[in-house]
Amino acid sequence: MMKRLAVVPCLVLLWSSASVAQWQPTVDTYGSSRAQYVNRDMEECRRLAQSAQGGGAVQQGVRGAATGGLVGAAGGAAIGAALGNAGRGAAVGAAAGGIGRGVGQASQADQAFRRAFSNCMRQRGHRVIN
Amino acid sequence: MRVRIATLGLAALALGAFAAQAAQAQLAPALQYVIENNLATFNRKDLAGAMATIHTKSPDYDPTKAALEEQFKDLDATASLVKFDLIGHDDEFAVARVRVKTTGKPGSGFADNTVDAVYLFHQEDGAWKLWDETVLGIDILPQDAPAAK
Repeated sequence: MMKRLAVVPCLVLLWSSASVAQWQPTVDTYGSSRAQYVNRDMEECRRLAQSAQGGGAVQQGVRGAATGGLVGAAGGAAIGAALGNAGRGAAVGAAAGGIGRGVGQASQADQAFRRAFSNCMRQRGHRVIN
Repeated sequence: MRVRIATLGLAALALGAFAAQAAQAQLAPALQYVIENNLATFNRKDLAGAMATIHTKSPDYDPTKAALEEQFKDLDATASLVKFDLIGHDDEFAVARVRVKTTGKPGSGFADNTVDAVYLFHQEDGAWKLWDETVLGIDILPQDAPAAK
């Protein structure tokens, strides 16, 4: 029983990493003037969110994509909002319910990635549903 | 006669060079003012004012307007100019390297940052406006530790 429980956190960690790579926010493009840019913005925001998930400074590879067609003060504000959690609720806690610290960390990283991805898309003017 | 023509030619060249230098000297402050105005209008959440600093034909006009409308709803951030250097210009466009620092309200979770970018300016109705921005680098600034209770 104890060995079986020990395996579960590892599997959840692996599943979480895979699910992060596949996940993307749901965007409502109906009547949106930004609909034609949704695919481009999805890819650029995914790269930006993956860099944010790493916890370090934004990588060289996303420099050009970071502001996504924004000019002026809007660009720096978009970066700060996408990489932080401003205006999007409290920080994520270890919502794993006591299964393990590793699962809690994976859950936090996953949620940080999703939050950064969603924030990035919102900052570019898309209506994000989830 | 030849000496007079040569002297007049040299004088014309010198005057032209002087005029070009004077124009260059006036251009940098004019462009810096556009940036400062963009940041100031952003800081007071003045959408019309901020958009007035951007060329209406710029490919960044609509995305920036959409982003600002979203940002002004629930984002409390302040942008300030760190550095401005005029790189050059031709008859249509001007280019400058600009560093802008953006900070959020303490405790808001905003990732304070400094963006180093090359800005392209273009004239519209006789006034310089922002046309495009290419980011060269981004520094995420360290967050202040929360005050001990």
